[in-house]
Amino acid sequence: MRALIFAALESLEEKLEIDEAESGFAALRILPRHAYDLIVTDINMPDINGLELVSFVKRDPRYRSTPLVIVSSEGSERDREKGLALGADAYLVKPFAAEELQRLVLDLLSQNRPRRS
Amino acid sequence: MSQQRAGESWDVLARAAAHAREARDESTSLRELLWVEVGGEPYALPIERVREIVRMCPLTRVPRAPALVLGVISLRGEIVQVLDLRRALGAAAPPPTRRSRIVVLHSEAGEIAGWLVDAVSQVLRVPEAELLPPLGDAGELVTAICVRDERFVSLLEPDRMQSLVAA
Amino acid sequence: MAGKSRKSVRDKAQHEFVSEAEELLERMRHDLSTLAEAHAAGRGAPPATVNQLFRSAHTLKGSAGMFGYSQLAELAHHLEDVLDRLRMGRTTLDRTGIALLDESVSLAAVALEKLGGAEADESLSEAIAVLVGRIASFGEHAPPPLEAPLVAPLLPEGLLRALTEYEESRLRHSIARGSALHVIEVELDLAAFEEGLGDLTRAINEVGELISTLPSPGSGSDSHIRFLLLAATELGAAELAVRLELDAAAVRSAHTPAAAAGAESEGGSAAPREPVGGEADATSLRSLSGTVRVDIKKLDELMNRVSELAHERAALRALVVRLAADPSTARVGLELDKIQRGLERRVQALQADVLEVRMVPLRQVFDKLTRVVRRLKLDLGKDVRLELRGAETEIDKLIVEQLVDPLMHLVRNAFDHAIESAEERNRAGKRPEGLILVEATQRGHNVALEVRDDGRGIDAGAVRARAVEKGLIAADTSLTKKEALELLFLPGFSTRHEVSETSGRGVGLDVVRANVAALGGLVALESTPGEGTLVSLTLPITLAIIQALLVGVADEHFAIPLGGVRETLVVSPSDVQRSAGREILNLRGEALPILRLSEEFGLGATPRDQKQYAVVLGMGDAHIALLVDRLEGQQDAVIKPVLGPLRTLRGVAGATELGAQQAVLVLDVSALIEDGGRRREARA
Repeated sequence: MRALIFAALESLEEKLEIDEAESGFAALRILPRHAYDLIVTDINMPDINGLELVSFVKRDPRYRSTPLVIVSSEGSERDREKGLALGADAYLVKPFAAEELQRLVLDLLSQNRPRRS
Repeated sequence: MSQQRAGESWDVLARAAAHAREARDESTSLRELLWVEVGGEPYALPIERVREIVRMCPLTRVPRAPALVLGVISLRGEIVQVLDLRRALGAAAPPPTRRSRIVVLHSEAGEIAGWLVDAVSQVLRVPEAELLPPLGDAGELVTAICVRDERFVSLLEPDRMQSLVAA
Repeated sequence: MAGKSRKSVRDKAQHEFVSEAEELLERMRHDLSTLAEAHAAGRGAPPATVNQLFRSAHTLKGSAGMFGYSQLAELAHHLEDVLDRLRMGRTTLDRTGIALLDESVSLAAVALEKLGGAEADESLSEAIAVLVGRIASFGEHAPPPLEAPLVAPLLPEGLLRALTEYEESRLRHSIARGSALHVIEVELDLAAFEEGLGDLTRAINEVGELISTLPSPGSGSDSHIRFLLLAATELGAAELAVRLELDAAAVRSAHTPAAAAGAESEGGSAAPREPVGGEADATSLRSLSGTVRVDIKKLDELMNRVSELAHERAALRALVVRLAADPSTARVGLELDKIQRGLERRVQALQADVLEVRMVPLRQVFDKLTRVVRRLKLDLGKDVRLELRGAETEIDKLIVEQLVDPLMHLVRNAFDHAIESAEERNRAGKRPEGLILVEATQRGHNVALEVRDDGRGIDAGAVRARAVEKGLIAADTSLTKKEALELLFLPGFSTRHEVSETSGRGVGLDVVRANVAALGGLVALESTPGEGTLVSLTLPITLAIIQALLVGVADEHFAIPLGGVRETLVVSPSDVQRSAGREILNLRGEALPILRLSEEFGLGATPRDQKQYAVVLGMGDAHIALLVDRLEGQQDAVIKPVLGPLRTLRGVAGATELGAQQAVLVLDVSALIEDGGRRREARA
């Protein structure tokens, strides 16, 4: 799934620098290294879940205003509510079309006046 | 092929000091400093920046490098530049002796470099309050001074040391 | 061209999906057998395993859906349903259930294989429909769901808000079971938290269940990270703290069990414990995509190990030679020698294989170029065709990643500056459609990449004039055409007065050259005004492990990557000739510029009457003769970066270890060739 998201974002005309984290823990480690313009996370991860990651991100002044997209299945309506309540900017439901993700990402990035080209 | 390097237990000592610091870190904030001798003068380095200390070993020279860069050594598979702290501090730089040591420091950003000193002494525990502002002529590498055994020990800042060369 | 590459991008992504799906199914099989074991032993199904099964099915469903494998997606969807109910405790698992799941996974594997052509297969559809029906009806006979207890435990709000539905169900489940709940707070080092957390997790799972892990910024947010762990266990808070080797203050009790409600059946039924899934699974999963995903770090490690192996073997050989030479041990020595030779061949083959694994085709870079051109066509309205050849040429993964920027820049340049407007082309008698050709070929240890256009070409005279204008050269300097074109590689150079938007900030060829040089490669430029321009890049095929020629100069030693060495010869002072102010070596009619390494590196001048060796370095078409004092053999070397504050080491590509932990600098062949080519004055 991660590879597909990566492919969808990478094939955008606008060249985005994309870092992948293979697990929630990896994300925790990678986050402090760069000022990311956008974060995309799944709910179901082997170590911490997506909601926990969102909660962490929103607590940290450094990333508090970074746009956050959660990607998950439609079965957990509860998770969706919680995700949005915790402060995620968008909640995409699988299966989704690559174009949808691309549009969403571009929208969120342009709102924040990205520094990266 | 043996990978053992005849190192001392200074790194163990340094780590123990760091642990002790963590455990005891209450109201009296104590700085743990590594005391070294450079050009006959005592200097100190923050222990948390010291990665390890090794004995003098064969240096491979780097051509066309600034005089401050003595060369590179092989440190457990990594190739690390070694710089002359004596030169950096404007002191005399005689050939290394048996007491000379290479102190491997890492910068705030995690970059490492080895620094040649004349000797390594001990680990000082200095309360924050005893660190005084440096004397006027101390130079840009010194961030503080403290007194030990009736001598002025100058505290050096590794990041400033590294930027002497960064090019 | 554009349509073809779009398909290939999709194919590639589909390839990856198939690869990932196979992994998922493999994992599910494994997990199912864990479940079967647990069931056979009369234990309940481990919640973590069930959860992982659920997640696998969930992921599979999503991916399959995205790639149009709708039948597989449907099957996965139903699987996910059952597994979800299972992990939420709304269904119990019994022998039938496990067998059903097993069949489903097998069928999914078949579906994956058969649906590669994305055509619906009738018999397969039927099989899936039947299975789906059974899955659905299996769920219906499940016992009524767990009643949610009305106890609201004293949990930190942050923790509660971040619990997923699944975690909530585990929470309720634990409470209903009569477990105590504790909140554990730890602060760990950001650089190394996984280990500590892993230990804690294991320890907790030994005495209970870890329900949730909530991270939050630590006290030093760059150095530490805090975790709140919610654990369910029979132990009391103090006891748990002892078990986890934590301060008592770190473990707070959040809920103490009331008198236990009736124990609820956890998952294993008390039914007959016959071993499950006796039918051997006949279909073995033959890998469809034939690929394995490997972390490049692991490849580096592997490389290092193999290089260490090569070192040991070399040491062994030295010993064997000594044994063979001594009459008293000659017999044994000879036997050992035979074995040692066999070892040598195998180690070399191993090295070659490991090296191959790092290689990736240039296709991925080419795909990006296609997109760039497509965009440019839209933006600028020029009619240009991009032709790509040699996409299957392979090069080291790390190099590929660094090639993207320089190539994109070259192509943009060609598109923007070189290709003329339609009218201009018409007047020049060219086809209205401009052509940019990017071609890659492997040449021994190098890869040659050419970016060729049929545009207006570069006027050497104009370049020269511009350089004089900018004060880069004196007005009366005489330059050959080649030298004039070289001026383009100077920083800040542009033959257009305005910086065009599509070419970025007017980033010049100097950056391209710097990027390529950083990879140990060379860039050269040729052009014919009115006809077109050719930029050729020559890159080493791999950076990692190389065969190196060891040389000695004065009392220093250096290593030269053998890939850049054409030949070595003995040179006597009379072989050195002078021409146009430089020292030249006449090699079978070719005049090679000479570079004296000892002088180049400031190691002192070699006495001129001494015999020396010339190492002929070549990359692409450029050659020089590097003079050294001694040739000291060959060895395999893993090039490592030189760490430290000094950033630029001109002429040095890295360093390697010479056996006994002595560092040896590895020379940068391309930099030396450039320097040698530019030398105009002989050194005094």
